[in-house]
Amino acid sequence: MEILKKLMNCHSVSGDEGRVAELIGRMMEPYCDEMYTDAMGNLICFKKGTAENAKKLMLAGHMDEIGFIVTGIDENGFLTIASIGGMHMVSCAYTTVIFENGVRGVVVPEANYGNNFSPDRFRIDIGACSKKEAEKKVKVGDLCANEAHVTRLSGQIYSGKPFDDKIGCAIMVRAAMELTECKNDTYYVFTVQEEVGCRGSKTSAYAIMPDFSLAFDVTGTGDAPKARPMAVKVGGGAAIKVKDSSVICDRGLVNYLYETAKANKIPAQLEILEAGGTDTSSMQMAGCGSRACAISVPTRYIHSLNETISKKDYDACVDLTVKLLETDLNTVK
Amino acid sequence: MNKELLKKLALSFGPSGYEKETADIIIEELNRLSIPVTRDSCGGVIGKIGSGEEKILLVATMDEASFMVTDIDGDGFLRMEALTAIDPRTVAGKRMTVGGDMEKVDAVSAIKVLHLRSGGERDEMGVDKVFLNMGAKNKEEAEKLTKKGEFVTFHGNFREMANDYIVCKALDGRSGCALLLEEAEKLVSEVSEDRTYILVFAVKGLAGLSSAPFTAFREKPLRAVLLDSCGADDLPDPEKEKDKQIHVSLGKGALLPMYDNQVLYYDSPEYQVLVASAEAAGIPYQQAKGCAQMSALHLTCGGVPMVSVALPCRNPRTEGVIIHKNDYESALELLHLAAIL
Repeated sequence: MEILKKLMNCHSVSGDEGRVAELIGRMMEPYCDEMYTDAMGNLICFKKGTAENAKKLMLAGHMDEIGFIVTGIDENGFLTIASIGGMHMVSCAYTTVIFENGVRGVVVPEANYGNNFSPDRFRIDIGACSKKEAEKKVKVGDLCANEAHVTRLSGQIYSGKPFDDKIGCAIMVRAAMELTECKNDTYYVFTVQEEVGCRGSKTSAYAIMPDFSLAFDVTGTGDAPKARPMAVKVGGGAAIKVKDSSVICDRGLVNYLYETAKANKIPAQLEILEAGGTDTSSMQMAGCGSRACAISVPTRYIHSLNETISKKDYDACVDLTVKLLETDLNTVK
Repeated sequence: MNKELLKKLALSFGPSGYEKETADIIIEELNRLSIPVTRDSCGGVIGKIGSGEEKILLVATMDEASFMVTDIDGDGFLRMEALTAIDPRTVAGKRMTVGGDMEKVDAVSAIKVLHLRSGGERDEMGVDKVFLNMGAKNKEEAEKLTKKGEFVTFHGNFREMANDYIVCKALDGRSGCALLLEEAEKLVSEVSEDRTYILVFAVKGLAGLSSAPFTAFREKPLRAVLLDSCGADDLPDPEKEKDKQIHVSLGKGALLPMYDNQVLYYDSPEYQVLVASAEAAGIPYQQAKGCAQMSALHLTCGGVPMVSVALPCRNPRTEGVIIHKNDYESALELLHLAAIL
């Protein structure tokens, strides 16, 4: 869990991913041949493949997380805000947020907010008594997010934030470390701005034009109270994405991953997510297209302060990814 | 502020997809400044200043709130469909101009008169309920004047109001073109040898189909500066709650959007420098959420980092778009800063 915790503790609201990119860069350096960041801030780590006529494989995990941006400071020193990405307002009411400069605040709804949970009806209280005092600490345009944390519940179940999608990045880093032979020309791409529309993956996929692509992200489950029926459950193993609302994954790749998991006794389950989109579709649709799929970590309460996962699933995702990276993709039907 | 240029641009007939008249004015001005001109595949006008390796795109749009004639009925009235986002309540009872391939004709928009409407029908409003009256007696006469597929815009009347307000149709897009042309004049003499400024006067921007990405695809610029407009929300509103947040006002300087629904601007390193430079130079500016629709440009090829300078306006996409002279002047200065960074 160490790598994951390190990534989670480094804040990176969409548009401000530089620090995490640097951190991941340092982790990946011994495991790749080339490393660079592009115009959008995506971090690309390239490792040459050993297979003959090696296929191009792009892996994508997004570095950004959801948060708030300060849109104004009122006369009483409260900050007006807007959400960056799908912030779940019910979930963050009365919680602490932290700014890059270390200032902390509490997200509070206006009194008498009724049923209106839009960010306009919330403020951040940084403990300032006046506009002037607040202006000494923060300014319009500053970004903040709920503080990261990981709490072990029981067994292998952990709660915390932001598992979405630091866990995806961690899977990629661990796979790079545990890989014994890199068969394909592999691009580990740590993307930016996924939470605001999968933007980084669109441009990085264009630059790479992969033959095969794999996204790493969290996915919903059907096992929370009154959840929509869904076959995926926490503890059921690595979720192999069949489809979500933005992509229908490559059938051959889905089957290959599922068969490989079975053959190697890696716990796995098939995922169909009715809502939500990921970097998968950007990579599938870039240029002339690629054969795309995703390996997801089943997560309850996505976008809340306590996203809940099982370490068993996390490890299974790493193991399955390593198996894929060690396969010459020319052999996948 | 070059009011004459702005007036000429605003009054020109340039609906989304038929911006020829506006393009001609822009080309004339670029020729006057000896800036080489090319066109994109959809009629957009591109001007190049300099010949250096660092390419910077400066983008404005030439179109305006517009409609297309979809039908001529037996009584000689026209039906139309909106080409741009429009508030249907602003369309009825206005003088319009119909034109395109055929000569321009004056028309007036109308809806079924209020006292003949009943119950729920009274509140119904849609562009499909609007009909245009050109004065033709019947279909035959109407067909001599226009045809299906012709374009419709609001009639233009450029007025200067008290306290430095200016009102006219099309100011929401055309002021960007005027700003870009005024800035071009400066850049011609100031461009450094390692830079090329590519001025893009795109078509169909307000229809959400901007041709700017074509030039980005071709030129692969380092970054782009987007000229845009943004509706102000400072107007007194009787139903307004006492402490409603106001984000964009008229007269307080141009808007430097931090982000909008499609693009984040604050992640661009130029954004922070631009804001700091504006602060240091004492140029009035505002920061809020913008309203551009330019993700296609932002995500062209490997991505084009963007900053935007948006002119606050009232009543965007209507016959009476209002801007303030101070905001225009501020936008001009901010555009210059953004270009030379």
